Amino acid sequence: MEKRSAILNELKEISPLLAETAPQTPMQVPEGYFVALADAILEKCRIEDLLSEASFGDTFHAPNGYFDSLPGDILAKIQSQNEIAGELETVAPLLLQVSKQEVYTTPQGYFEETDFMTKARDTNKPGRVVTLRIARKWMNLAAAAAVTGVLISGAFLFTDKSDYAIKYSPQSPLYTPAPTNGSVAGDSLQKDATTEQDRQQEIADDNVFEKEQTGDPEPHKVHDLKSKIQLLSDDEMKKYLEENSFPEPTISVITEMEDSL
Amino acid sequence: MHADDKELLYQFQNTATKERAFTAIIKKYQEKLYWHIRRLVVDHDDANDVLQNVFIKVWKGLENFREDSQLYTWLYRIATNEGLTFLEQQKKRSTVSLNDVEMGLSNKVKSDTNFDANKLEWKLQVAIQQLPEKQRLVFNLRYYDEMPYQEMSRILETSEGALKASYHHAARKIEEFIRNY
Repeated sequence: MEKRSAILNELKEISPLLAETAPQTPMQVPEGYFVALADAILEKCRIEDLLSEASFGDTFHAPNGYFDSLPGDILAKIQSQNEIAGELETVAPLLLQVSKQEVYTTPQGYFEETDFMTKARDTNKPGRVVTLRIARKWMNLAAAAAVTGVLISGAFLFTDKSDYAIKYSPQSPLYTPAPTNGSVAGDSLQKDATTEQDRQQEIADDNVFEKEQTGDPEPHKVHDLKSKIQLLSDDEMKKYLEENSFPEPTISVITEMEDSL
Repeated sequence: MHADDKELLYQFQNTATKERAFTAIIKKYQEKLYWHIRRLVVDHDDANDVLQNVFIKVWKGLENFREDSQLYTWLYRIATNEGLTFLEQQKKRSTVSLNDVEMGLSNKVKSDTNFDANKLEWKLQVAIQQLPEKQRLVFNLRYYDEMPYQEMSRILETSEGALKASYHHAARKIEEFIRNY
């Protein structure tokens, strides 16, 4: 180092005030800083060596001959652009004067949104998997309910029989078979007439029985008639109406039935 | 080159003694380089970061060090460049003007826990931080490190005449500042 005296002399000429000041730095360093510094630096140097040995340079490669052909490729691209301009100059020179600036605009924030969507797609978060277990379970339950419903309906159809059906069933002890004389058409007519007479007699008997029990014949008459009519099946009613195709006889029959009651 | 430095460089070329030699180089120059950097960047943590980067660069480049210059000069040049780069990065980060950065360095001096505005040493530090970068460097190297202009010229790659002029300007500015402080 240059001698302190020479520096001091120089400083006295420039700045006597500074020459009188001792060249001491008033700032301080943490205690023991210089003791541990060498080891800390050496450790960092070792890490640096390891990192440099990892050879990050091999990660990226330029294709073979890329830099050899690069100037030519760039020039070719420039020439192709000039060719387009030259072509346009011969075909439609006016178009060269028109700016290629886009006249269309996009909604505000469109590209930000697009970017957001891309980011959202890029995330490797797996999509929600919806299993078919619940749907299949409900389908099974619905099928089971349908089968159960069919079985119950069938059971009702076979077991639920009206009084009338019981009484006039061939298996019923109350059933009275029709006499079998005459022709087939006559038998049929005779059977129907007998059945009708039997029914009327039956209704009359029921009413007499009820009259004896309650002692109040009038309200029960209408009620019983209604209940008897309700017992008639559609086929029987239809047959009855066919047999009594004219309105007058129908009314007369009903009147007779009411009178008999 | 100093005999000790030659021996250390020789040992550094040998794999078996490389780390030992490097540790010796650090221990020999750490304080000089630390204070050189600390006067430049003011804050201890910043100085520590810069100093560590300096020695890492030395570790990487010492094998290729040409012995036609002194090791000490080479180390100072690396330290100066690293310090200036650090300040440059701070300027870019803070996006403030050069004057503001210099004022910022003065404020850093004042925020030191040991700062005493009545002491001449601290006044001197505040004054130095208000100098332009080049004058600050020249003044520090000459005043504190007592470095000859010839050596300084190699480190800062500036002519000796220009360095002398810078030093004179700096010394006068500082004196004026201290008198008016």
